[in-house]
Amino acid sequence: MTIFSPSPVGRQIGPVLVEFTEDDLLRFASVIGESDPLHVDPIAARAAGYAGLLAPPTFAVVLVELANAQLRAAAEPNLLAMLAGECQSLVHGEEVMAFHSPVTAGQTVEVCARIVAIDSPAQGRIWRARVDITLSTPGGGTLVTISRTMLRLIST
Amino acid sequence: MNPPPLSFGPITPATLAAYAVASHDHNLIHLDDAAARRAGFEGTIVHGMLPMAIMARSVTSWVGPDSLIGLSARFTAPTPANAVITVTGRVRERVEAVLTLILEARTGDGTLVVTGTATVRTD
Repeated sequence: MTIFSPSPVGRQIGPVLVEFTEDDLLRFASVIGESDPLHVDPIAARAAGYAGLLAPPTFAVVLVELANAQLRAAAEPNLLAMLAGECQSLVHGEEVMAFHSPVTAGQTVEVCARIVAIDSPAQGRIWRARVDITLSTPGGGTLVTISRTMLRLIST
Repeated sequence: MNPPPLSFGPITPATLAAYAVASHDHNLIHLDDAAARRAGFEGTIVHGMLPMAIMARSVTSWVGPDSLIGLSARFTAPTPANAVITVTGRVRERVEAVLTLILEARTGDGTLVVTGTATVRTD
């Protein structure tokens, strides 16, 4: 028996096309204390051969949030809505990221996600959902893949 | 040789508000004490992806910003607001030009909040 009812396993979001600006990258870099020129100086990034500012590695999850926000704005199902209940907490268990190609400012990124498994490692007190996410260039090459585990903690 | 430790914080409510804006993650358990308590925490907790971002920085500031090929994190305990976190890393193995590092993020009182691994290309 699962508290996720109906089971969302197999459900997908996307492809959602997301865009982001240099300012989005600069704001993110500033909050996490990132000051490497490739992440904050567009001239340095282009001189190093990138099309624009290089996104910090974990900016990939911001693109997932942007995709979720777009779906929410369009009143379409999004990942959080599929996994979260109203008064339950949903927290991150694990995040596994593989970086295939650099993400740079000005790019359009295609976000696809799929809920691949749900189980309960603590006899119903914790429910665990695994979501596989792929970021790619539209119709093209993989940029980043993410395997994410979300935990839903059930208060007793 | 291992990457030098990297400390970040204190991660104040203002930091969390700024991270929420920058990351588009507006979950209230990071922003509102009452919402965090309703969810079973003692107060607001740090977005897990923030210590993970610091883990990435600890590696890329050591080997270069475009050398990371993999990064994983397991969130072992909530990081309370106002904590200072310190990320430490050590090289576990080298296979040709690829290094695997074990990473840990701890709060000031020594609590292990995130464990992780990074794989980096050194060629």
